[in-house]
Amino acid sequence: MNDKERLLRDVRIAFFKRTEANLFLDTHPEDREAGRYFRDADREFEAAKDAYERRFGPLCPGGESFRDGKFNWIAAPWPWQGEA
Amino acid sequence: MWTYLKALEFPVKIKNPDARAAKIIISQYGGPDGELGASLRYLSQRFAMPTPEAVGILNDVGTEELAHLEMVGAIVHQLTRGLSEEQIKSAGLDAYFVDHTAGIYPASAAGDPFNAFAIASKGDPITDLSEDMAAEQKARTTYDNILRLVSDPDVREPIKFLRAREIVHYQRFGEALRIVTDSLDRRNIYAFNPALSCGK
Repeated sequence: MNDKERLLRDVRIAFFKRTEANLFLDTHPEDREAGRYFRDADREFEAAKDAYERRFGPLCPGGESFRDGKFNWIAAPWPWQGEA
Repeated sequence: MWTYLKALEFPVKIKNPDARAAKIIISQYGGPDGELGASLRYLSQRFAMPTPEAVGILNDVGTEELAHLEMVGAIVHQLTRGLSEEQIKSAGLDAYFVDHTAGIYPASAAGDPFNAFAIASKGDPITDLSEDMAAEQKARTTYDNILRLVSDPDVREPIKFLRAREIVHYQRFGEALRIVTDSLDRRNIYAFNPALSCGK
């Protein structure tokens, strides 16, 4: 696994943790432990996303989409192409 | 409103094309219990939900189903990359190929195009949440059937992930149904349409 794959895996893991906690909290909004888990996963996701985007370009539309006069958003690979 | 994250929810990296697997897995894209129907069902039903928990779970599961639709599309796309005409014919993918080439089209394994009759949006939270629990089980059964027919681990791993998500969604919808039922007016012992009795 190269750096790009590893950083994207970190993003995916953190995003999944946040998604799963989000669904649990939808039907257990008073659960404080789940709330803390959600908040930690959210921080982990933001950090992982920033680490990936700094080196390998945008994951979400935003600041990294256009950099140094170039629109990087449309640069391959797209997720379904099976490259990362 | 939605925003896009340029990653799959679970990775799909298939080394070997397989027309036969593509022909059955397309059903989870646009078939009767597929991810297109799932996302449309929940995202449409959420408007009539009476409690914040039920609105939230339909909104957020509906959103996750869009990510699953993308994963199934990715699986079929990668399974049909670089196929020869002979492989397409011998696997029986030729009927799909003649209309769609290797494009992704929402249809069932039997070739029926996506049909909104496969979903319901009844405007009654009890009815809709009961449908949603059945829908998750039907999708889980379909993924189990796919796992009986497909042996390539590159294909099985993302299918197993999708199957597991159906079980979690079923659980959450069961909780939402209980919350909605508990919130009904106690005089409404038959639990008939709480969407129409709101505020009365």
